[in-house]
Amino acid sequence: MKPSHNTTQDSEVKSMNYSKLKLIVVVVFASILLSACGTLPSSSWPGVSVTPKGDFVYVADAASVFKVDATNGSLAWRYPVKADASKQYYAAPELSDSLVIVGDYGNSPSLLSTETKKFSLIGLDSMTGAEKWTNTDAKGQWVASPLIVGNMVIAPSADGTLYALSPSDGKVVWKFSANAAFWAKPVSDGELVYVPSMDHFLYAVNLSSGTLAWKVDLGASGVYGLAVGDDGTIYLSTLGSEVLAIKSDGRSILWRFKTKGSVWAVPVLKDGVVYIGDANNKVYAITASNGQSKWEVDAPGPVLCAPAMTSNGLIFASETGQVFLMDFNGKLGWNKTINGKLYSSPVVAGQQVVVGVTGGDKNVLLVAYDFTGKDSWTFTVPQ
Amino acid sequence: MDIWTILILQPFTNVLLFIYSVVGNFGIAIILFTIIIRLLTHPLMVKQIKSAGAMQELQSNPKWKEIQVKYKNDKEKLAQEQMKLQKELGVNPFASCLPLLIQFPIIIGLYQTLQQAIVTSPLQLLSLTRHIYPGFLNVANIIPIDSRFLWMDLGQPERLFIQGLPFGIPTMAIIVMVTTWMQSRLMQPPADPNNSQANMLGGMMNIYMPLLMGYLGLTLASGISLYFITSNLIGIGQYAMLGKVNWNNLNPFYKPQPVAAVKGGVKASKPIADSSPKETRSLPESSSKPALTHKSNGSGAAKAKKANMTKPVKSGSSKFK
Repeated sequence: MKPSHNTTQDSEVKSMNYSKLKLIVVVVFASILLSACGTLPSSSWPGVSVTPKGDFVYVADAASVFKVDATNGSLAWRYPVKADASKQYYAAPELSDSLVIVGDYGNSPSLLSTETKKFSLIGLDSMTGAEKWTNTDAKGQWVASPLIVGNMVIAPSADGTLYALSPSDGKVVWKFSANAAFWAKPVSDGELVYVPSMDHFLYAVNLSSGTLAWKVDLGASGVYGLAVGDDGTIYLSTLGSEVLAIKSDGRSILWRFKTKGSVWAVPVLKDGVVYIGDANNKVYAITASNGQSKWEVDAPGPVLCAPAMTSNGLIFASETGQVFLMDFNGKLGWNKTINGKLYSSPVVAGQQVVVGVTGGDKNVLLVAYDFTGKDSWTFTVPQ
Repeated sequence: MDIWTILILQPFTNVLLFIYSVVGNFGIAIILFTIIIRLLTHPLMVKQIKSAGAMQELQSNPKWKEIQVKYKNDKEKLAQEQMKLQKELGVNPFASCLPLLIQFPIIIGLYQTLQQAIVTSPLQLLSLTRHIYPGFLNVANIIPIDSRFLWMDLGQPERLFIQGLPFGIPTMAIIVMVTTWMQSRLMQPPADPNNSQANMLGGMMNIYMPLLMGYLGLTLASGISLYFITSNLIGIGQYAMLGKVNWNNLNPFYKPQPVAAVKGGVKASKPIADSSPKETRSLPESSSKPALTHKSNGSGAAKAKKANMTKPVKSGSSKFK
């Protein structure tokens, strides 16, 4: 009987060990799965910029920033050379002659990190892509592109602070705080910096000192940038599905134009007309002086980005992958389809329009057409 | 939009944001939302607890033990006899699983809702606005969601920085770990000497679950940690209200006396085959129909008396409800 009893115990011990092993495997798998579905991955659409000459395109997407030759779509350099998963770049790079500034969306800290996330604003050498400086003062993501104006870099952070930095070393010159995140790129007339915040206010801040000149309540969050007319009138869209015109001194809102769907882009201004698309497949032309509708036409899909301006008309991109020309009277021209989603505003580079693609087929990140809609080149994320 | 989004994610998101629009504090909104969801699923939890209790009682039933011994070499027959007995006593083995299964999508939905509501990028905001019912909530009024609560940003993993300390303390992760441990300890059923594997698994879950949840609390947004903590505390409260909590379990030095050992005078380590026949043979025929019903609130002592067990359950077992 004894041997039999021992055998029973042995088998029970084996069985327990097996169960223990199974449980550990299950727990490990469960933690991996839960972590995967639980982590809030940093994600957005590619940010695309073009040099004033139109010879190079810069695109920030996920863990990399690429400099691409606008004539043929070939890669000039990539930053960082070896991708760092803890950093994500989506804001369109800001360019000067020698500097490219990129901001980091951040990512989850490492497993046992005892620090909070760090969000870097990085100055790169435009020729080589080498790091010139890094600023890690911000406690929030760099959703918006910074602005280089004069001898200053104006960088709006999602931590609700507008940072003014020295372009030579990235050191903070002054800070201005709002009550919520900045997601929009500022503009400046050389004296004031204008920037909308998610806290529903448009702020005008003195460029030299960072002090508040004035602020105006927009009634909803200012998610995207703004356009400034020749007379100083400021045009912008808000999350309240409105386009607003604001007097240059900030004392009054000149008009509000209600769109049918939500608007997600900076309005484009040309010859006294404001152009903008919405999420309800509409494109609007609004008279800049009085906010009256000039025309309203159907688009092939939801328009969530600003159009690129050409002499023949406006080139829009829709969320559903269509790139189309619309003349200044609202008449549709050529229409091309890209396999992917289009949230990034198309940019004009020389005689081409370049579109950033989100979730592009076969890792296509940029697609270029000439102004007649003929394919020029594509840029694929190098493996 | 898929069915999951329409039935779970969208309604949850709208309710959470509605609460936020009323109270104006996202931390409080998460706590209230968690409480509402837990209250709505309370009947399911009660049913699950009762069914689990009935299953547990069934396993200490002499007839159950008898057939286990009798058909230990014939798995098919054993299963048949077990099913027969379950039917006879009106115990449905799936009755304890079903309410738990129904709660799962709700818990996952709640988790995803929090993820969706804590927006940190335009793409996430775009997604959120598309899930808000038009006419129910005004996006312009809700956004931006102020994700600050106490010392935390609910959209970021939490670390508490104290002056003089060179590192941040992950307080929320620690609280998540402690409350998870408390919940699993308090809800732990009494040790069953006839099922050492189950006891071992229970003990291991008490170690691994808090570690897993603590890891999630360490790496995920602190809004999720706030949900975990609230959910754990409500869970403990619900169990306490149902009289199913054994506070002695929180004392790591407390050694509970196994129920069945008291009931049957059997040593916990002794194999079933050695002990059960003796125990069951002493039972009269009347014990074949013990008072085991769903309506009972699970007093092991009362059941044992009704089942004419060889020894009545004493003070030790009364702690295990």
